[in-house]
Amino acid sequence: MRVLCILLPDFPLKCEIIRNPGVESSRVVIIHGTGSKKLVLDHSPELEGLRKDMTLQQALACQDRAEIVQADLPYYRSAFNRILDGLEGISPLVEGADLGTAYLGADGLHLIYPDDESLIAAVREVVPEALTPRMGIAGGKFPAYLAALNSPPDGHRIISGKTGDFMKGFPCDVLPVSMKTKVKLQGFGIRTLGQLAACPVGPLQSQFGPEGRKIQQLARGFDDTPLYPRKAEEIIEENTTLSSVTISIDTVLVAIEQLISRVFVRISQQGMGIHSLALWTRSYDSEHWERAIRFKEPATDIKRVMSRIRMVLENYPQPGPVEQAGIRVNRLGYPRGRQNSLFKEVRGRDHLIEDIRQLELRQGNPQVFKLREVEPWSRIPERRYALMPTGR
Amino acid sequence: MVQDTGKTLRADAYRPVNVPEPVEVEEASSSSLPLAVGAPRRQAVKAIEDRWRIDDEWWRKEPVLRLYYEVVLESGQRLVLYKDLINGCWYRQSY
Repeated sequence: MRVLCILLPDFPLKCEIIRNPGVESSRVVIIHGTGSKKLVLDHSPELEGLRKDMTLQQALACQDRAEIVQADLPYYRSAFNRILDGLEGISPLVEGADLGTAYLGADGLHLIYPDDESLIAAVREVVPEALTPRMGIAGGKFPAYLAALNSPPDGHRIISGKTGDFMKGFPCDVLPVSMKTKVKLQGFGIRTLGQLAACPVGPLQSQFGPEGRKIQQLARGFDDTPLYPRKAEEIIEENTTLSSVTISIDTVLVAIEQLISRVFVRISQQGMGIHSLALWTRSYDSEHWERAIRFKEPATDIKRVMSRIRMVLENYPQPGPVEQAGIRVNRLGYPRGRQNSLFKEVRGRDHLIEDIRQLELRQGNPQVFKLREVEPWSRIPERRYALMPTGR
Repeated sequence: MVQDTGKTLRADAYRPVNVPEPVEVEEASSSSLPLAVGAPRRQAVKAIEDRWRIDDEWWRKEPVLRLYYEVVLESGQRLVLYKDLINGCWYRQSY
């Protein structure tokens, strides 16, 4: 299986530079994490001693004058998804393994791209030049990854022939295994893939179990791990910037209710409901907070969705005052069947809401509003109440 | 069943209530107190019943700095006005 690996080094940092060119001349550390645990996601190249996934405390101990930037994961993901969309125009088999690492199945493309060079040229047209992609082609995901890692910046490397010879000089740290296994390998004095490849499979299996056979195969350049292409699913993304920074759950809920309403406007015509969604907020100091919410049965009722969202917001506190909120509906579904309420009052309310919805379909704009308390305690009068469309 | 007209629904039509309305106010040159209000016709201010100040969201780029007055006009009408201390404009708003 021929695989092309595309590595976009320092992808989060480059996304930040594309968004704000001033970042290029600053010494920034991009951090992510929830609660009090903050980890380094990326950093400016001139900041020595830092590495990915080290804690913020460790990073600041090395570089105390670095500028801290909170990671904007939705932005990075959407930028990466756009690249994957472009790659899917080249090959149907595209896997976005991690932010900034993509694999592309290169088998069967020889009629369109007669050689590897023309395939790489096609990929270069899709990936923005500013991201300086490194590429590698080899007979499996792991060797292709190492080829890309070993290629010059903005260049590529094609491995043909004996893959094992190319790989033998790499340290065992590059293996996609747990840290425990890597430490254990070091304990046995096995430091390079060449040494590992030379080990007989029996002793490795007895020490590492099934993983022992796997790492020996990888070290020899055999990787039969299949590509996991992206699922073709409809994702609906909505977000809003709040009119003022808030710490009130009710204000955040009002904003999210609007977003959910917009989603229902799009899907209710098809009789669909929300199966799962990701709820995210961005705080005043750019900190990202995200939670996944799943429904046993697709939710077709905004009240049901909002009650779950309220529960999540109450149970998982925000890291700071909220400035932006958004949802990403990643799974839709059809409800199995819905029985009308037993109670006359509830049926009456449902009928009324249906009538209002029909009226809005005819007129094109919300016609009936309900008064909602937003921040009734606010000293600023226009922040206390708001009118929300009723027919949702 | 009403047919879908294909018009775009503005589901995001979230409307704040009690939004301040700009109003013309003549103010005293020395004290900046309101002397007359021009809504809808010019009326002199008979009395200032109350005055209070709001300093909020000072940490943001656009802080809220308002000086509110509860005034009685010559017709006997009561109004709540405020002067936006950032842009110097006058607004009426129920408080």
